Amino acid sequence: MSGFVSRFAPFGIGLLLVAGIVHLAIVLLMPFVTSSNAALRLASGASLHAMEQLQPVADGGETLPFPFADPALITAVCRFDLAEGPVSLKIPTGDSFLSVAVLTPTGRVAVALTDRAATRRLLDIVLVTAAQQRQLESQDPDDEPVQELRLRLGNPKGMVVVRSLALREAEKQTISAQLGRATCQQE
Amino acid sequence: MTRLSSIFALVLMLLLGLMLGIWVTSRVLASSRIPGALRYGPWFTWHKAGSPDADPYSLAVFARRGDIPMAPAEGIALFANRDSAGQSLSGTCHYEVSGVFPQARAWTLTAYRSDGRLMAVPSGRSAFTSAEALLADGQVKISLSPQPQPGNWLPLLAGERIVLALRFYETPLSAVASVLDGARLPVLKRIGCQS
Repeated sequence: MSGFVSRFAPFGIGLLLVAGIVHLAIVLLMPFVTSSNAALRLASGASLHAMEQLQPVADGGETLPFPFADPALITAVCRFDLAEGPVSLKIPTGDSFLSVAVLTPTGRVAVALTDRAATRRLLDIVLVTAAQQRQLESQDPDDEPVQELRLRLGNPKGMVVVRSLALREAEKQTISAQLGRATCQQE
Repeated sequence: MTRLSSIFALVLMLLLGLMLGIWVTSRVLASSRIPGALRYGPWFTWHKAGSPDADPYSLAVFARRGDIPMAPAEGIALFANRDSAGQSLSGTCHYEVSGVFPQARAWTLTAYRSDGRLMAVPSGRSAFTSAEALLADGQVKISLSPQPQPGNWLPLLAGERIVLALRFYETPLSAVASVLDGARLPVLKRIGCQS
């Protein structure tokens, strides 16, 4: 019996070790797989610095832009790259919930805020790198407060996801048109 | 052991280890009982999936599903694939989601197929929102069933496996998710099943 154990114990331990490494590798690499990751998949189809509303895909009952999306949300995305300068987002808001999330290229949420941060029914956001933030601050006038909301990002590339909630079917067109006026452009 | 048989054992170990690793990972990522997930009664959530310090398991789950997580500032999404008694949700059965809904700016309840797509129900309705649901004594009661029900009826498609998502937009819940008490969330009760 002890001969059996001593012969197969290294085999068993090695097997578990390999399985553990494989498990960790898959978990850590999963966000980089384009075929399923929504952020990567949407970004690959989105043009740079343009706010695009995601159209629901109709396919045998499916009417969602991505799996498990809330059908009450109207979603728009904008792929950005801060390498050539800050990116300005101007998003009109209304009475209903609206949120802006900035995703890193692999889909991690870097920062998110809602329409509560809007002034006069407009979310005026500028995405900047740390260097661009310093440069903007040095140019700011001393006598008046800055109107725009500056979000400093660690990763210069990514995707903005704007989600607007239409709680009633009848509100969808209005909210979609409101979201259609949102812009995303390089400054 | 000869040299050949030890090489054979090594290759076998690598192959079996690879298969075991893939199998365990696919089981783990499809389950709600993994690191990063919180459970309250039938509901589970990956409350950190949408924050900058999201753990690798939550990120992997959302990457695999192809879903974009909600940030805590946006709200919280609770999912269920079993009822309050622990039985798998089936489109053939009649369920009731009821109780006091936590404070939030808005909520939505959506019924999905297990792959995250909507069911092709004849009425086209696959979700209820806080603006649409009728209240009775300050309580929400939504019936999920393949047959028409009085009140708030969310149609199911018989034969499908169901995943429910209960989303609360702008809620203090997302800040206290880790200490949330299941008793304060709506219950998901099975009323009966078609034979």
